[in-house]
Amino acid sequence: MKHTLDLQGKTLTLVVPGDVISTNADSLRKEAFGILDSEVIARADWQTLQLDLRAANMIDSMGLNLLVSIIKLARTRNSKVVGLITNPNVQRALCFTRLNTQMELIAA
Amino acid sequence: MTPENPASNGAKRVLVVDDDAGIRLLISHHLKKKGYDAVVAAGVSEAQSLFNLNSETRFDAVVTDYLMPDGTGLDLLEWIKQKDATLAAIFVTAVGERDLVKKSLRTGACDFLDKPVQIQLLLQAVAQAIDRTHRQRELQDAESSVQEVGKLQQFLLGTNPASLPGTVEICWHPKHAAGGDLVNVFHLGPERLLVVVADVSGHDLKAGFISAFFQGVVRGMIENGTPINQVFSYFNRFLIREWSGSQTDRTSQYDVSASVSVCAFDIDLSARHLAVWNSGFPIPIFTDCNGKSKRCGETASHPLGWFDDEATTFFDQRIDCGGYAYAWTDGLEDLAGEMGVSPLSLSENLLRAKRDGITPSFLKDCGDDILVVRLNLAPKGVAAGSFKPLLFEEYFSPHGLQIDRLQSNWEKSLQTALPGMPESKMFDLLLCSREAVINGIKYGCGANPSQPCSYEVTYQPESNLLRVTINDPGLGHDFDWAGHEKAAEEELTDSHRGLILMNRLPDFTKFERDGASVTMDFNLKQP
Repeated sequence: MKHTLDLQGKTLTLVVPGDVISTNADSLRKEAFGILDSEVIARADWQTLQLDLRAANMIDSMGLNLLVSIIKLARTRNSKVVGLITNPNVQRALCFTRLNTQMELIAA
Repeated sequence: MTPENPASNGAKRVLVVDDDAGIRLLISHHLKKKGYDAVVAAGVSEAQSLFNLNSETRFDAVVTDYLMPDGTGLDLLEWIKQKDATLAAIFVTAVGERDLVKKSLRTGACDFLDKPVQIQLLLQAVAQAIDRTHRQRELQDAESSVQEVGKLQQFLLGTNPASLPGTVEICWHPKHAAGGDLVNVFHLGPERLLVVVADVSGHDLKAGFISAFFQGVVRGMIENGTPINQVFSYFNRFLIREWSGSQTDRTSQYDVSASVSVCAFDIDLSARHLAVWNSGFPIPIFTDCNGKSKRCGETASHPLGWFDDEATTFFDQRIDCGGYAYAWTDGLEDLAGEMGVSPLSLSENLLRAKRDGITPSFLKDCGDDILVVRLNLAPKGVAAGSFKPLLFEEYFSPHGLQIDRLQSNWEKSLQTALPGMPESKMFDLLLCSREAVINGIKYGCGANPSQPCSYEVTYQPESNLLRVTINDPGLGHDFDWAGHEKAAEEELTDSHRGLILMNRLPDFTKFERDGASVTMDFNLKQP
């Protein structure tokens, strides 16, 4: 999982490499929290966490739970979460589980 | 191969083509002296005319020059092969011509003689060419006979069921022209049918012969009122004691030289009852009108011809609202395994292709005969509209680790059965299936590891509806939808999201047994 911090240091972007499903959710969780808990990222003053989910064609309940964990962590820093999504089916799954009320979804 | 003596086999006809009158005379003289009927031509055109004139009595060999004023021996040979592909040829070539002819030869093997022609070599080459021609003709005749047997089988398979429109659908793809698969339908009463489906071991004429013999035995015994299970017993004894026992090898008593996997469906539409006997056939599937599937018997059996104590299994079922029964040979199961799809989905694809008069390209390299039979069990007066099964599988706890493979199998199966399925519906179905099967295995099978979680997908063409049913052996648990959805949204709890997806994405969801049984409907009509 790649990550970037923009020049102003206000937006942290995590690029998810593909689907977020039960069979890879644990490893993605470790990767994501490895980045989020790293000293540089934890100290940085990012206020928006951008989840780049454009490569994801499926997010199942375990994947949704991972997103929830990330949203919760962002909230502890008073940061908002934005999701970049290409696949309309993924967007529908997020809306049906009301995660669109917890994070901003941008069709990209 | 020993060259045959022409004198002992009547006059074999040899066409000699050369523009050099001296060589024509020399060759024909020695051939006639040896007892052949030598017919000469001075060039390609004359040879073609002679060939056409002699179409009633075929030539047995051709001896031809290469370079002639009106064309080459190659031109002539290519023309002849269009008329008679079995005729063997000998090229008489000058120095340097042989390699050129070999390189240009597109019409199969032939023999070569160098100029000047040595008579002994010529006679030897002609005898061998005639022998080659005759062997080719025998092969052609045998192949033609096999094709005839195959056509007869296609006729028998295709014609019987056609007299019962809507009741029996068949798709048969033999590996060779003839094989041992068979379907026979018998009218036992005004609304009672007996459908016998069988697969004889082997894919050759021998299998075709046993198949024909078996069909005759079945027909005779059934028409004389013998119950089908007794027919099975009789043929089992016949195969073991008479067929295998007739082999000359001393160990033949242990030999299984032929076996028959057979399944019989007794369909009584007035009594609304289905009975199935099975000896060695892949276990058939029954699906009721609501889309609930089950195997026609829980245990596999062995084919007729293996053991004295034949172990035919029996299954019976009420068919009050109709439904379908499916039977297929192991060739279909093997192909489905290679393609990574469900046998039921593949059956749907093949039966549709058969109806549309199409031969799917994936059958080209298929290694076995394939026979699929679908029986429509709707009693008279009951409208069509039953669900057709596309996937029916059972998963035990370990399958939970392979959920991605299962999902891929579901997707390929549905694409095979319903090629035009909307992408968004496929996504919804796969996601909900994934959630439901993981739940079923985790909670239902977790406490009952020896019992499976069943997964079914059925399709109702009339309403364009896909129905997914998941049953796990657990007790389920009470589910507070409103409370859980609220908690998931507002308190960001990290549970129940899968159930929320299953409740929201399908067009209709029904939870029974406190969630241990889930039915989800997906309407494929585009909004």
